[in-house]
Amino acid sequence: MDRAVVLRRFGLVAAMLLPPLLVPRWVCGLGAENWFEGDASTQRRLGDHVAQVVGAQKAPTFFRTGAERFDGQSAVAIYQMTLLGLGQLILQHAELRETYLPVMRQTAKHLADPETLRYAAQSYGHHGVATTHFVGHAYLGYINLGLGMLRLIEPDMELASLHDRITTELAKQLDASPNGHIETYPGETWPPDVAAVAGSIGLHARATGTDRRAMLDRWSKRFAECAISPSGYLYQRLQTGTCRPADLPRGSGTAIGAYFISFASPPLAAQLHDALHRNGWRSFLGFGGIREYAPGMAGQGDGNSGPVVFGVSVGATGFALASARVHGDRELFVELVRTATLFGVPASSAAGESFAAGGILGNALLLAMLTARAP
Amino acid sequence: MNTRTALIRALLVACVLLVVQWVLARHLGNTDPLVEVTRGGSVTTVGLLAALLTIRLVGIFVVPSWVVYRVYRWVQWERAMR
Repeated sequence: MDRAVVLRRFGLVAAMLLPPLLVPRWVCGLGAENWFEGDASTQRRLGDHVAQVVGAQKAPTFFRTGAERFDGQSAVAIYQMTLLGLGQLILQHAELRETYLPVMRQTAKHLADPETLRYAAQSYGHHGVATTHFVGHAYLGYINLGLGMLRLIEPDMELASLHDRITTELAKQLDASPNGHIETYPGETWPPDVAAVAGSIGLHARATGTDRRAMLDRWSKRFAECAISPSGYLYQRLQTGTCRPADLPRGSGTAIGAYFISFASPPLAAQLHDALHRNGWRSFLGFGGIREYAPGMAGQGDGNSGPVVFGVSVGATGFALASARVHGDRELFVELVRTATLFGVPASSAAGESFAAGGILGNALLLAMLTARAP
Repeated sequence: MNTRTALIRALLVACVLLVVQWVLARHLGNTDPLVEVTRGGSVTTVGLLAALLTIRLVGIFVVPSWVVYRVYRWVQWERAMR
């Protein structure tokens, strides 16, 4: 074959390979720096969408899948993440306070309504929100974190006494626990839920000026010894009352745990983020993802992780956005935003801009993750 | 069909893909695909999400290379005509 023809064809193949290498990372990365820098208009478009959808919610739960635990927990997640996301927006852009505060107040009432998570009352015989003293009930960490964010914005909020009471009970239990863990439901101990409990205590301390540093330092040492695997990932579940794992170390639990713990113990949160960065980060053509299972381990994932594709899970990748932003890990954050943009499919709506593939659960989660900030 | 026509068709296909993606995204915006996928819910929503992601991946990763190829063929054709 003529040498010129060979060269021309080689040039054509090279020219055709360039677009997939450059165009996708450019198209999907257009807003990534804005998210990292906290650009008000970028953040506000998603904030407006979430505020409108959650603000219009009348029933306590969003879904009726037939699984009461899932319906209740997803509603708690939506309300909690909405509060965290809108609160973080207000903390970064004070002029948005009057816009989002009414929605935050209403969301906090839904979050603290025992009807939202009826499964908790069924499993314990009573709901932690409606009980003066309780044992276990680590699911309250999610509710308490949401209340804490509202308290940070509005110190004299209507639910302040409930917030104080839940925090006092959770802190008492956590400090008394020899391994730094309490049960979420009877017979179920989940370190990521305990991370939410600790984060909520730390956020309460910030909002009220209470000094809980000594207690949280004691807790963080016990928790780390018990729940962190040699890979640096958190065990997803432990056998109650012990430090024996009941599930493998997982990226989704580690990533969300790193975010929650950033409110309570920044050094421990940094340790978890370091494990995600070193052992969990996978990169392809400028798109980043986080392994659901630590290197050398494998599994199918579950409702907490979402689908697992090539070892990377939707949950771990989405949750790690928060940890990356909190810890100033720009390179990882930008790659994760590209992935979220590619598969989330941003779409404008009358209320703002949302991720079409996310629904309200995904959008509330992404709002909190994309706007997370260092304490 | 000359190559210039083919290039115009390639760009038209890219535009159609963008419009279809926009329509699907608007429709899915009223549903909760994440929950449907996780819980194995509505086949319609999961199918639309699969279609949307396929179109998006093809549009972002394949169409630009295809356009480069059509431009190359167009240039070749122009040279041959001279």
